[in-house]
Amino acid sequence: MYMAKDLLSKIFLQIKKEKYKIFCPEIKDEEIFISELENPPSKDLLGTITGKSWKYFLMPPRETILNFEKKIRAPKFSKNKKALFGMNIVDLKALEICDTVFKDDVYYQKNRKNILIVGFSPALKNFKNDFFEFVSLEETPFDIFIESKENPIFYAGSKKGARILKKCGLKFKEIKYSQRKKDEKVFAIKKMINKGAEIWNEIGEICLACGKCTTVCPTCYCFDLESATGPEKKMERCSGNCFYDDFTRIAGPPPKAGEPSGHKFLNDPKEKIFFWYYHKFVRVPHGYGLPGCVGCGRCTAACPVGIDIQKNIKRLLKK
Amino acid sequence: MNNYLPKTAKVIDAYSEADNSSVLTLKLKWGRLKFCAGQFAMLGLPGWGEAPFDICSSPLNSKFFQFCIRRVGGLSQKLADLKKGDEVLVRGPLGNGFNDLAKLGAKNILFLGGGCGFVTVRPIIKEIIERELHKEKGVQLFYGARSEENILFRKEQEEWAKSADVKIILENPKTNKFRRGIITDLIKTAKIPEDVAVIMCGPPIMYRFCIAALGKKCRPEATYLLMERRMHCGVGVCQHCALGPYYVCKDGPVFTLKMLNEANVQL
Repeated sequence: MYMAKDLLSKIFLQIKKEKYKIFCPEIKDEEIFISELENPPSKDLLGTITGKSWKYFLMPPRETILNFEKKIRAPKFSKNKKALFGMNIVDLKALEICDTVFKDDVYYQKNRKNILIVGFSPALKNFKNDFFEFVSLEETPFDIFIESKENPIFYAGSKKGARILKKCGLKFKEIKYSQRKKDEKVFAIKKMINKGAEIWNEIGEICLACGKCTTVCPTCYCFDLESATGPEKKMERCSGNCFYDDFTRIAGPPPKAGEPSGHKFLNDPKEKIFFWYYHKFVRVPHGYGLPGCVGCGRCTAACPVGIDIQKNIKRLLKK
Repeated sequence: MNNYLPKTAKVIDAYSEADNSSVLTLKLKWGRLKFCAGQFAMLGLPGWGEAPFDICSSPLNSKFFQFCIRRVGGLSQKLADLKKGDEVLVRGPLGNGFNDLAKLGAKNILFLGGGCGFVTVRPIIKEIIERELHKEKGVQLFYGARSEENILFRKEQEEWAKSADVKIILENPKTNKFRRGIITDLIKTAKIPEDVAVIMCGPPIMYRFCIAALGKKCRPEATYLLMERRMHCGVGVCQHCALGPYYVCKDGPVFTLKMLNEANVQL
């Protein structure tokens, strides 16, 4: 596959000129990280599934949301512009979920406004996986999308993107985003989820509840609101993890003498991993009509006991 | 609009209630808090975090509102110790609540309360009495508590008893003033009309047994269950309070049994 490096450089340098910090996939210690780059990246890495997902640019693992000084207020929002350069199409689908879920969230939206999305994927025709019937660019959020092939095709998904491409002197197609209609596949999975007792029992036996899947998952957006004590009184929002014991704990007396106090609604790895699947395949579709999993495969790669989400869903659908 | 920005309220009254709890009467510094019976709010103290508490005063009064706070954790201890004049942060009202108690879809109302979940019975029954709904509907209130010292709102219940059939049963009564047993014993022995809306406020285990004891009188569309979960955001995003496909903070805390059955939620 050939793609003129200078075309890519042109876009990269134009974005840089517009004062964006540019983040791209980069290999470090044999793993694919997302790092800030000064120079155009190697095109082989663009569009790859990075080890960690891009979500921490959208939802910082820890951010101050309220300062309790004389007046209670939100901190000043940063104006730093960031470009996420080389996101795969499935990562853009994950972005769509986050954009939808946090539609009314000021912190997310203020940050999101400063982010430029540059997607990069090979031919899109007939793209599908276990979680989507089909994917089309019209139903995917991005500013610039590069369809990588011998003669790359450029797309602009926003005015911001169109302006940059224009300045590069490139020909491009304009795409208008609209949220997709009901995805039948998602609802098929949703219908089956309660029939998978056998699968849930099996994975519940081997799951360690380590929570690695949630940290790499691009659609795991849950969070905790934490209050910091000490001289600086503030409330922070931190990435949550539904596999951790305090996720559902409520205060209260110990259920039995000698037991820890309070009550938990998720008590063992089986309940926890089912809760996790339920979020992806029931709650997100129920609330937003979107699939909560995009099939990027990061959780499967990260799982220390080899739980394979794609395999499990395939098995579920065969029932 | 920032969903996480709390309002400041002043404690205008605080008194001790049974079960190691305290009733705080609050008034917003600016404006009023309009709410429905069953709705809750996040109460917070800078540096101590926030947690959900049911608003337990009558929803017909939006000038003042009350919370009954039981000392069970770090924050609740702090909150219950607040005195008149102290300030507290309020985020709410949140959740669904009963927007019209006249439209419960039954001629009679039966409350089943247990443990500290009983707090939520208070705004509902207060609204019923203040709106004189008890004159059109038969109201029964069954309350199961551990022992005499755990009975919440004991004095007020005498007042409620004028408009409703109030029955208390205790697991370990210390005197013979109260019947010994659990709430299902009341269901089995009392006369409960056929056409009844059931409102349950208590632990889920109580719901399971009460539903079984009520048998056919428990119609899923007219049985309301108040659910409790850990909550953070209060707007249905953070996932802490997820219950099947629902969020207790947004789709609840009042659920009909029908909603839960349809979604296969196990109690």
